[in-house]
Amino acid sequence: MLETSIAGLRLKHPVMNASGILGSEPEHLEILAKQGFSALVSKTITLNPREGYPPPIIVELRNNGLLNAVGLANPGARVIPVLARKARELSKPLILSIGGSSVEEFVKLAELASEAGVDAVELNLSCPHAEGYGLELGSDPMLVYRIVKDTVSVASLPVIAKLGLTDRVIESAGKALEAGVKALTLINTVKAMSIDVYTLKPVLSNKYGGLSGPPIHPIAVRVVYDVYREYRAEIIGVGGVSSWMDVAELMLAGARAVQVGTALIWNENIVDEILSGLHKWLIDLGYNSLMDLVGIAVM
Amino acid sequence: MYYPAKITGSEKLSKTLYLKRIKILSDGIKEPLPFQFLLAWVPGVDLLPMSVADFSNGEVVIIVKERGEGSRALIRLHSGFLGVMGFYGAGFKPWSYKRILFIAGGSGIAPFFYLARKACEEGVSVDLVWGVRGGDELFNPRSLLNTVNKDTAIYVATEDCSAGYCGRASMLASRVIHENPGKWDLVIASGPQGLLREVCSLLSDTGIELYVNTETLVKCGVGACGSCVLKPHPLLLCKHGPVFRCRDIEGFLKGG
Repeated sequence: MLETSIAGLRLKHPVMNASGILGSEPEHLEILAKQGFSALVSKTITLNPREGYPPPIIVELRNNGLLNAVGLANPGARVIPVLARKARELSKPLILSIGGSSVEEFVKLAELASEAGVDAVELNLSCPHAEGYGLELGSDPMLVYRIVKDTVSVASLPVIAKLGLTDRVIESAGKALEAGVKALTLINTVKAMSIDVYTLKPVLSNKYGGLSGPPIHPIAVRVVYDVYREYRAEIIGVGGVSSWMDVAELMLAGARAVQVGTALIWNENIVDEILSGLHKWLIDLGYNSLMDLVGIAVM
Repeated sequence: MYYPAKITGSEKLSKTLYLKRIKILSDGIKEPLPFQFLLAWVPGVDLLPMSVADFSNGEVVIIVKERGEGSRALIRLHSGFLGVMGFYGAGFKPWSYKRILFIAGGSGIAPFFYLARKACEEGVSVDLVWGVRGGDELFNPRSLLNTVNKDTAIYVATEDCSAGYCGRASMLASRVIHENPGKWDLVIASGPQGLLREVCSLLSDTGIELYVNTETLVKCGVGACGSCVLKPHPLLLCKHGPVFRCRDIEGFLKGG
């Protein structure tokens, strides 16, 4: 009833974790697997290890949002086979998120991911707070095209592009599809800032960060809707999901699967709650399969 | 949650330990559980994980040990503003036990005071073994202990042999436990990893439940960044801890 498929991966249900919460160490994957996700998504891995920014790297906001500028901290490409092995041990498909500051870096990482036998790669073209990475690349549709094209040509596994909120996100999505991605992940965190009104300074050491959590959910629904309407593409919806109804909205807007990030911080039972909510929703509507509802709100 | 805050009191307790009172400047902060912790943000300098030594009416007490640039900046901050994030961790409510022996090393004593007050409200007694390297690190724990904790016994050890028992906290604890069989049904050790490891091995045959208050690198506090994972265990200090049963984190204790 809740089965889905995305980028050629057949999944028991549509809920995976969003890249960025844990996911850079094998122990992290164990913690994520216990939550019941149908597939695991790693933290973004770069070719070389990155320290990330000094703390504060995360701020819990008054509006139930979360602001982060972790700075793509990760152990580098050497962890790829370690994560792949752990995911196999846990019997979970692994989508490896990779990030680079050049076309060549993405290509090299996609090769390493293929060798390690992960199930798919998700290109991080949307992190809003790392100079030379992520959104700085993803906001240029022609650069998206080149990165995807070259990555797809060397990768023996499905390639997914994760795009974020920009004025040209629909155009970037089109270029990614044209260059051969199997699916799009929409959206990433939204560039934002928080200032302490007594110390009179931005709280994050990087000043700017990415906003996640409930405040960005309607933005994600809009972007998924627009991209689905334009291309009828396979989409993983992500952004502020904290209940089954948030998942349902993203699916009606065109997502075949969803990712949950920030909500994990406050709710360890989030996956189970979403799945039982979706199940009841299908029964209430008289549907046999969740897939029949994908994109139904789009016209 | 992030809260703007202000230092409202400072006190030098000993050569290396300082007490800070911090007033939270926005509403909505909930009373922490024992062993939940906060991250203190000294703007432009550092973010420091701190145990809660006391909490009431939106005011937190912490005990800071001078050890690096960040802690020195926090100690110097006499009446300024800072940020407080928390309270983080699962905390620990050992209310099913009768009498707890708290074994502290150095500034690991900080959460003892809050635990002792809460334990008393729950009808649980707590005694203290406190070890430090040099006698100049000591202060009188009773001066910070709530007056309700009248029956609390305090044992002190110094490694420079200038006061109390001559040796480490773990050795003194082992001795008082053998001298008072059956007195305690729970041990909580708090301090450097060496102390935690010694307590877990030295006291393993006493039949007392053994827990440790762990320390490691904490960057975000909310279970997102994964810095505080207690390798090789799938456990996060900031989410599942910081207090763990010795036998649940054997690999971590061995590795440190």
